[in-house]
Amino acid sequence: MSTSVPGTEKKRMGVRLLTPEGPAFDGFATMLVAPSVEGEVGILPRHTPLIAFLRTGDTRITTVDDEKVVFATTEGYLSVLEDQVLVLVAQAEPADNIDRARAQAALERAEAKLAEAEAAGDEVGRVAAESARRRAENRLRVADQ
Amino acid sequence: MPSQRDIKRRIDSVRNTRKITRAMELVASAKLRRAQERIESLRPYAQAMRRLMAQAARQSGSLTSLPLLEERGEAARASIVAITGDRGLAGAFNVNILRAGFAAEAEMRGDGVGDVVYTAVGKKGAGTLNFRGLTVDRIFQGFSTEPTYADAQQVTEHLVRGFTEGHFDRVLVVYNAFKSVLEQRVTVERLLPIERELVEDEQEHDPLVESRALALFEPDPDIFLSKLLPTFLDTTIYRALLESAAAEHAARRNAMHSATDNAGSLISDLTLAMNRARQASITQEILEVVAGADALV
Repeated sequence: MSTSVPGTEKKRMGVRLLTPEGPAFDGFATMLVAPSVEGEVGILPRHTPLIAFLRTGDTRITTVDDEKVVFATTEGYLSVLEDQVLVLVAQAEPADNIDRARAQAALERAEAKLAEAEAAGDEVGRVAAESARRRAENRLRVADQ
Repeated sequence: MPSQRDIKRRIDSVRNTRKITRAMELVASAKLRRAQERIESLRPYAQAMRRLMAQAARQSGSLTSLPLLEERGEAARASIVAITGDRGLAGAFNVNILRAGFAAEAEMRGDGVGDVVYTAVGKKGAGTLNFRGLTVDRIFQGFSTEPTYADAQQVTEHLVRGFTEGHFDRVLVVYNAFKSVLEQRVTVERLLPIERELVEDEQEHDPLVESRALALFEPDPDIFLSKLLPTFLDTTIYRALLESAAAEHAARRNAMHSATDNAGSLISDLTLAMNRARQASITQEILEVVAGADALV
């Protein structure tokens, strides 16, 4: 911990950012900001139990070492329970790791797929391509911040 | 009787085949390990998801209004999702799935389901189903050995759409569950309508869930649950795809392992035959020389 003076220790909470492809973050944090569908929510330790939807955007975590970590996240869920914060999303990518060129290529690919699915009248393909495009756009946006 | 040269040629050919099957076995083992790791990395997410769902179900109170849970009394149409591999050379891996699918179809037809369509995941299954002239409403392929979550989402999207639009009243998933490196178990699961007990699942009695007060839902639990269910299905399908991928690698590894063994015993049989042939020809030649010498005396 950063200090030993009684009463001034930092409050902290456990944060787990999970994706189906594996945990993206698992550690202690002093603050978390996530994009809920009803606006951004900031979570500090001792937050009241909360469960919310997340939209595609960026999730920012301030760790106990006062380090700021930013993830580009897709749609998902946020749950806060007794200083245990769970973020469940389909994809989470650390902002520092985003490869602009690759994200750009993914965006173009998604747009091509979208046009293709629309031309073929393929509803399932269209929905998939649309969410792929949204994810790619989000990655680019987060990378640019 | 084949000549020594013929046998030698066969031995060389079998030896080359053994090289290939051994390489395939090694590749499959390496991929199997990775596939197992991916199943492991899904686990925390899946558990958290189940817990969240149970909590939402508890607080929402009524599950009756959710379309994905709706039991349609007279199920007239059903879909069977057959998860097979894109490639063969994996023993009975693909055949087992189709066989279980056909059995499930027969059973449902016995129950009065008139219309059964297949959704094929994997090229092999699609090929056989088409060949048999069965109705295949959609084919997903190209990701059997390395499925991603996005692939699973696409499959789910198709199924959920079909279910809510009334194209089918029931959806079964047939896949190879990965039990161990030596065992794949063909599993038939009902995907839709979602079984109530799965949603209300209370068996996970962790103290964290039990002790706390009601959580604030944003938006309210009912809406939350109706959005969470498709994600739950995504996770279920993703899990099935991952298990199937691991099972495919395991099946291929085993098939290639026995192929390598068989090639080995074939080689030793052929070597024996070749030695016999050589011995026979040597004996033959000695006899001829001796007979020739005798004739001169």
